[in-house]
Amino acid sequence: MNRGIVTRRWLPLMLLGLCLLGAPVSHAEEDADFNVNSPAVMAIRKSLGERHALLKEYFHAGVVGFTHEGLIAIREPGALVQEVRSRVELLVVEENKDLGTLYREIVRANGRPDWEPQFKQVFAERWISRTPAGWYYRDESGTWLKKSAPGA
Amino acid sequence: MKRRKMWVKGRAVRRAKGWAIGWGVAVMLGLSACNSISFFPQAAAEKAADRVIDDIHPDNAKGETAKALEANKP
Repeated sequence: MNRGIVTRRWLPLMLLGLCLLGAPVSHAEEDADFNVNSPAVMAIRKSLGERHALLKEYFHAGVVGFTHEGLIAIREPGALVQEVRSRVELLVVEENKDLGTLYREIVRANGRPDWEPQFKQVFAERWISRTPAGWYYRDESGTWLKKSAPGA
Repeated sequence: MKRRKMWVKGRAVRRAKGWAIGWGVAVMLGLSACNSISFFPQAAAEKAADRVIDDIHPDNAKGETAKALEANKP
């Protein structure tokens, strides 16, 4: 009986605490929407889009591919002639620099720089899952795999 | 005998109070910790990634956002 009185006295306080602290937690997922249109992000998107036109032929030829880290890499540098290799290496370095900045700027624009590793991981998965058939990607073991056509 | 009964009653009240306060503090600390960590919004991040990829590599396979937009086209 006494226990009931004590519980009744503290119960409202506990429920209030649950409401105040629990509400933001339950709404965190549904309220979250990443802003990917900040000026810094837009500038990088433009730069990446322009470079894609140059990189596209190398993706198609299997010279470069996506990595599991959300970046791109040259598949077989030794198989390229020096002139082509220098050109591709430069493009890959610039692309990876922009991709790194893109991930950093998106999480920064959304006030959560601590989410960068998770965001980078999401991008890596999305790049690979959306890679067109015939393009290459490198998995976590370092093996290059050719993306097969859906249903193949 | 009466005094003994009163003492037992008092002990029960003190114990119940202790339990209630203990549980209250534990629940609040737990929720507060969850709130400060806040869960990474995976679905929102995937949609954001798809929007960016649609823009950068428009020839890539369509993402979920683009698919949904296309499905809703009149």
